[in-house]
Amino acid sequence: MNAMRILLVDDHVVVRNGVRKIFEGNHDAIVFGEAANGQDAIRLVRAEKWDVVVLDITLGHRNGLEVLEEMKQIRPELPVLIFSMHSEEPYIRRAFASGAIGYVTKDSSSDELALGIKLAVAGERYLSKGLIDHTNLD
Amino acid sequence: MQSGPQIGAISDEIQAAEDAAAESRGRSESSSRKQTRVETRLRESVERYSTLVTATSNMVWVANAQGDIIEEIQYWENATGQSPEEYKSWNWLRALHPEDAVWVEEKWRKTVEARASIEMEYRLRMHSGEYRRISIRGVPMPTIAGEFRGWVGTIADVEDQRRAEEALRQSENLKRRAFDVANLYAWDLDLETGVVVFSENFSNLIGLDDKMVGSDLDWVLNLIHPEDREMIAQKIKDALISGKLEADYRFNDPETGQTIGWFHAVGETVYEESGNPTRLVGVAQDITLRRGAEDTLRATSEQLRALSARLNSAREEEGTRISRELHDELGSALTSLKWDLESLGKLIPAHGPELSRLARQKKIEGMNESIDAIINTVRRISSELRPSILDNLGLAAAIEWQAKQFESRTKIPCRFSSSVELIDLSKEQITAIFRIFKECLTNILRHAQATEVSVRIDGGERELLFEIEDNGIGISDAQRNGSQSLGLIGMRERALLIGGTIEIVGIENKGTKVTLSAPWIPPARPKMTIREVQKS
Repeated sequence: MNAMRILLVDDHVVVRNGVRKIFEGNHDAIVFGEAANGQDAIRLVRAEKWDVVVLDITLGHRNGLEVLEEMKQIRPELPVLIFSMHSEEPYIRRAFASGAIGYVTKDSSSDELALGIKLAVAGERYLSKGLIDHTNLD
Repeated sequence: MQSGPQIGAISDEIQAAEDAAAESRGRSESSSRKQTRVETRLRESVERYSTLVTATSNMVWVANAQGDIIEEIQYWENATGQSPEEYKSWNWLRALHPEDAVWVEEKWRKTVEARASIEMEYRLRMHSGEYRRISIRGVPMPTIAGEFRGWVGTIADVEDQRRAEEALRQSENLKRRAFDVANLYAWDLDLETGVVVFSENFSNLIGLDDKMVGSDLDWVLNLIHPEDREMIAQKIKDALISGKLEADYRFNDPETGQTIGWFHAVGETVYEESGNPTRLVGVAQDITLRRGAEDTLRATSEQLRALSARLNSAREEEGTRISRELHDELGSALTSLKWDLESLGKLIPAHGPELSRLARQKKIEGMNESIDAIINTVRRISSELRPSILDNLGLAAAIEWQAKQFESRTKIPCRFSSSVELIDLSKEQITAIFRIFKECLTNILRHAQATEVSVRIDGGERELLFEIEDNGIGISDAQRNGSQSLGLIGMRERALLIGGTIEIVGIENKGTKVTLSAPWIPPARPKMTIREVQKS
């Protein structure tokens, strides 16, 4: 079975390491790629094949939602899961409008993130439970 | 009342008739008809004189060769209360003001010695105690047979006239002083002839030699700064119709061409009965210092405004930086901590004393909740410093979100609509509009007692309109213009800094509407591809 290839795009190394740790001890083989900014992320998306991208919105000076739109132009079929501190409804609407398949906030549990990633790979939409409650998005 | 020269003429006439009679008698003329004619002429002259004296008897005085007043003067008696015995001879001097009595006596004495005419004014004490100014004129009576007979003269009460003259003089002095103090000059333009007359201080005020001051409109227009000439000429034309003139202009030194100063003129048109304008009259004031002060004030205001903009900008930048670091750095670190706790929780052995396992589980859950609370606090602080939506998703999204937050917090419905999708403004403009919007919401919450709020954005050809309206009690004029309403002052200042304007209108018990307009260029529509054109 091919290893799952996950591209982590976040400008904070502590977050990237945290996501890696979630999948430690996982029996399935996972290959991680990392990018700390939008430019590197686009380069990696062009150069390699990924099963899912976990993308932050605030990437230094670049807006992650713009990076999302660019990624979807390069790889329309690539599932992109937004992983962000922002929980406001405008962000969520914009993310889905720009082609995201799911949205998980950073205050979600690690299990939720893992679930979101798995569903994204399977092509299924996922929204953090807390977001459904207060944004009326489903 | 007959004047001195006229009395003199009658006296000459009498003298001539008397001389003629004497001559006639002296020549022993046999013709009685000639004598009768002369006597008739004499009688008529005497009658005319008597009539004149009767008519003016109360203002006429007669003195003998020694200077004694010898006839009754009705006016004197009525005015002073002195009886004839009290004022005849030289006793009339007793009714004079003590300061005048000495020099009047001296002057009369000299006149008597010289047998000359006299003219003088002195203060006479009325029987009421008041002093009034009297004018005395007298001429020597004609000599008869070589004998000097004295004087005849008139008395005139000139007190009222002198008071009026003094008042006029004082008024003129006051006017002159006022003009000097206020750096004013008066002008009078004859519209038919083009002649201009200035008040006497004009040349001094503008620093020109009297000889250099002209007297016609062309000269005035040439003196005016070239950039102001056309405007002044037009103002004069307009004044013929409107009746009023008001203008600021500069005078230039005709020799050096240097600007002498700024002047502010006001004037009005004088019309004749037919309605035709005949003159333009007015005053002009030197406002050079005031203009200088205004320029300085303007420059200072601009500097303050620039400083205010810089401070606002610095504050926003700092807020953005702190917000981002709080949100991202702290938020990410807390997320990582949260996951580590979760991992710790998973490491609690399934076996072992139930109580200690549950206690540890509970402890970890508690710590997790604390971290969640901290994350929420970080989000809130970050958002209050500067909501990231403003920078990441744009003004419309930020306003819509803020409106929903307001509604959620206050339960006051807050409707948002926008006629533009893409609002392409500078960061400063976006920040200013957003901050004004937040200030409006704060004011609505604190003061309006509103139950509904609506927010709208409209994009025109050259300006973006932002309106926020509530259905509350309505802001009063006093509140809107009050110096204590720093929030409103801040809003106006923000609007000015982005080149915009703000209008606040309140209707009592109907509500308040704030309209902000900011200059903008509508974004160009993206060009359609050929396929898109074919599809459409």
